[in-house]
Amino acid sequence: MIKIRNLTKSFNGSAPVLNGIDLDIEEGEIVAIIGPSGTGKSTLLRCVNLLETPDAGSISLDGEEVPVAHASKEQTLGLRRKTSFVFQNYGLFLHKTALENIAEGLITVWKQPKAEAYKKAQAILQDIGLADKADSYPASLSGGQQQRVGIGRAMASQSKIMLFDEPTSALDPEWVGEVLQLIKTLATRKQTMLIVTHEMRFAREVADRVVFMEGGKIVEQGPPAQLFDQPKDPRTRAFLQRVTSV
Amino acid sequence: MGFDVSYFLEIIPILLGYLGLTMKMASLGLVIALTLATAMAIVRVFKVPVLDWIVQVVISFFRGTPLLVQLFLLYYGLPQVFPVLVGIDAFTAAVIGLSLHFSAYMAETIRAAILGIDRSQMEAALSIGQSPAMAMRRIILPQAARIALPSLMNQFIDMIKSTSLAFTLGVVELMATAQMEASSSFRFFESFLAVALIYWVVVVLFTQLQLYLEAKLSKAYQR
Repeated sequence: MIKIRNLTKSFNGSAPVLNGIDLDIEEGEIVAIIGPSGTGKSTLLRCVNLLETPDAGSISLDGEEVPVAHASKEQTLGLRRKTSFVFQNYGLFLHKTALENIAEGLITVWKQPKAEAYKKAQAILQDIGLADKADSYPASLSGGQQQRVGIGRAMASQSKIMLFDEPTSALDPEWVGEVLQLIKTLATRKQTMLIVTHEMRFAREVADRVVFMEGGKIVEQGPPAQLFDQPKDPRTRAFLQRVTSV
Repeated sequence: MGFDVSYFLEIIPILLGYLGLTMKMASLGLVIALTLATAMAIVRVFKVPVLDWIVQVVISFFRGTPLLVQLFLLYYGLPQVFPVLVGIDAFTAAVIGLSLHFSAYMAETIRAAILGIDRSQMEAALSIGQSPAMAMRRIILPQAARIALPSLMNQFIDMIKSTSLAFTLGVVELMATAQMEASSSFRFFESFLAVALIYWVVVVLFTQLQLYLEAKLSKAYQR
């Protein structure tokens, strides 16, 4: 469903952060990206919905190929509207309530009547277990609640693919569980997802496929059991040893 | 001579009759200045080629020269060079001058407020599919307004008081009336004290409005 080809990105002419990434994701597939810090995982995700402009490469979503290094305004908007993003630091609109955060895109981007948008947003709040927080502002929510609203906002656009950028790494340990639980729920609904994560156990449990990245390249990928238990590449082995030896 | 209480009480209602014109000047000035300032701030934030440079020069000029000089230039000077401006009336000239002058200050206030909004807000707006312009209008500017409000209110208060300079262009407003009453009655102290008190009360009222607005806009940020 989504085809990423030769995605390349460097910042200010330094060594490339992404070095010709090719990645295909099927509809309903859940792909987890793991790897050392500073290895381009988040940049890859941010390039997919053009929060960063890649230097080269293309992304096809639903058959429409976008040359992402010089996408037109319409192509950029189109790609963003077919994807949704969950940020590490939630990125909730601070001046809007939980309900308004979820409804914002429905009203302004999808041009739905306000009453209908708020009804849908309320249903999503119910779904993510925060129906009673509709009128709360982000400042009064816990980290876990904020991130669940962030996921709810991403759910609202009914995008083809949801992109998660380390969704639990800014959370206090006590809130990690509820956020992972919500992502697992989405996984059971066959929502296509691309998840950058440091939670190895979670990746093994929820992903259909795990991608290991290092140095701006995809080193190895495969089903979780294979990648975690019989990694082929020495770099994958070294990384897994480092993160699981604690 | 002493303080003539009855004259003082008599002149206040006369002066209040001109408060409307003063406030009309200030509020028209505020609307125009805020519009210009927001546009200039956005040009500066996005570093729009050429326009950014022009805006910087405009801001530098209107902050770098006295308001009185700008008003004289606009009303007495420019029509000599640009005959289209010959018919311009003093009230319009004063409103334009005040707007331009204060928009320069307000533009910098608004620009700083926009830059004070965390980058994640713009990114989140783009990620849900909003265009940059829509994100600016729906997400960034409303949050920037809260940060900018205290400074903008200060500048508006300054603008209310600065309408008194319109008197030098011949606009018969609050200050002009006080001056005329004073010179015909020779009761300078009573006249100018009365006009000072009126400005003061107006400013105090707007300060109260500011406190109310600040409380309203910060509601979302309380834990």
